[in-house]
Amino acid sequence: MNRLLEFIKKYNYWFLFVLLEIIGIIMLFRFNNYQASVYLTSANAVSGKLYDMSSAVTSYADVKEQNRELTRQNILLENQVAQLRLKLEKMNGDKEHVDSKEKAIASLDGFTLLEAQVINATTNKVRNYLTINKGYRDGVKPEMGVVGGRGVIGIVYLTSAHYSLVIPLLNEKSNVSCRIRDRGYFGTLSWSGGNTQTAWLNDIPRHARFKVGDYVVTSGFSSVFPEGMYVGKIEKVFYSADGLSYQCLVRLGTDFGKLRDVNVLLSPHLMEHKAVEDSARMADLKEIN
Amino acid sequence: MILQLLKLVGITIILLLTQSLVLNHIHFLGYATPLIYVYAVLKVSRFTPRWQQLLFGFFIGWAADTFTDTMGVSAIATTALAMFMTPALNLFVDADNNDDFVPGTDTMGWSAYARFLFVAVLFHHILYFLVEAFSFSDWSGMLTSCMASVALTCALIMAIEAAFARKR
Repeated sequence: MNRLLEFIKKYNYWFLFVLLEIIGIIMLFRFNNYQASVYLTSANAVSGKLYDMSSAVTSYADVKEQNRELTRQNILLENQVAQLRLKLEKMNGDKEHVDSKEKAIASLDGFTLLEAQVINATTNKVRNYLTINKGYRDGVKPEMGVVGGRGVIGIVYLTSAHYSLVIPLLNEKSNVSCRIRDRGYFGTLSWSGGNTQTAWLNDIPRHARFKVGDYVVTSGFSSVFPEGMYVGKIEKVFYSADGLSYQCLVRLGTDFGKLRDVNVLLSPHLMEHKAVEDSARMADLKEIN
Repeated sequence: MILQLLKLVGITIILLLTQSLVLNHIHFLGYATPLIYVYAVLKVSRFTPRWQQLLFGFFIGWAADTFTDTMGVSAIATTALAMFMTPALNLFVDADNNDDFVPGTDTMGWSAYARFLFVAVLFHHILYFLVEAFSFSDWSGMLTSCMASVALTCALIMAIEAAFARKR
């Protein structure tokens, strides 16, 4: 301690020298525009480089949040595009056709997006399932749709308080009503195992006119998905076994191997819709009996 | 002691006035401006405490800056000169000479003083012109101005020394 004090006492003028030079430098930058501008320019270059480096690091920390936000925006934009497309078709004529479609539109106004994360998923079975971290406490109910930034993912099957089990498109039990965009033909999308990037669009009538590369979107016939949500692209076309319809191989938009951020479509009309469907089914059964 | 202090204060005031009223308007051949006020820093006696030398150097630099509107430029250079003065002086004084004296031709002799003056003024001017230019983009122009000013300042100081020597 004494040595330190002695050192400071002996070389006190060095501290004074540094202090006076700092005062001089402050005066230089404070009162001289030229030096201040040169200093600021180089300081900006240095700080710009530093900010670049720090943002490169911190952007990784934000990726999760950004991804969630992008997924959400993508879903909203996709739906907006679908609606605008319908409006355009309406303005171009074919009124009857479009009117029937418009009735089927369940726009996102009626749906609420609930962000969720996939916490478990299988893709290597014939009956694959996803588990998401939102349950009935968050408003999730069975038969609600689940979508991601790159299209439809599946339908909620079971819910607990905080978690839900989802039947993805990659499940042989999955059947989603779809249509070929801009063509108007409807079919059912199903999967029978094997390739996790493709599914089958069945029951497209033989008189239908479409081509490979056409987009497949949700039909909006149920209250699970709004109309026009992207599902995938037609990759190959085959005749069905009975030869009465086409069977299209669809390349799915969603990569189920990389799923993380998803959105549950909370539908306010779901129960009402389901009740109507159930009563129709009951009426059918009674008639048969 | 008090007489010596008063003398130093007097020299400082005269040098600062000369610098601001006359020498600042001289740009010899478009390059050289003598910075005569450094002479005041060089007139501090050899064993003056370093902190006093530093404060004095800073004060002279600051005063020169206020007159020439170059805030900070002279202050940085003259403070550094005050710090550099003792080691520079030791280069030109015999190792066994422990006398306290004011550097000058009368105490050091013409040759030693001229060399000391050149080294000290060169050190000050390099710093001054570097801080003033604050860039190496026109280093040749800066070097020319610096060397021309060193020559002019040294010549002026030697002329003052010669004038006082004749008086003595």
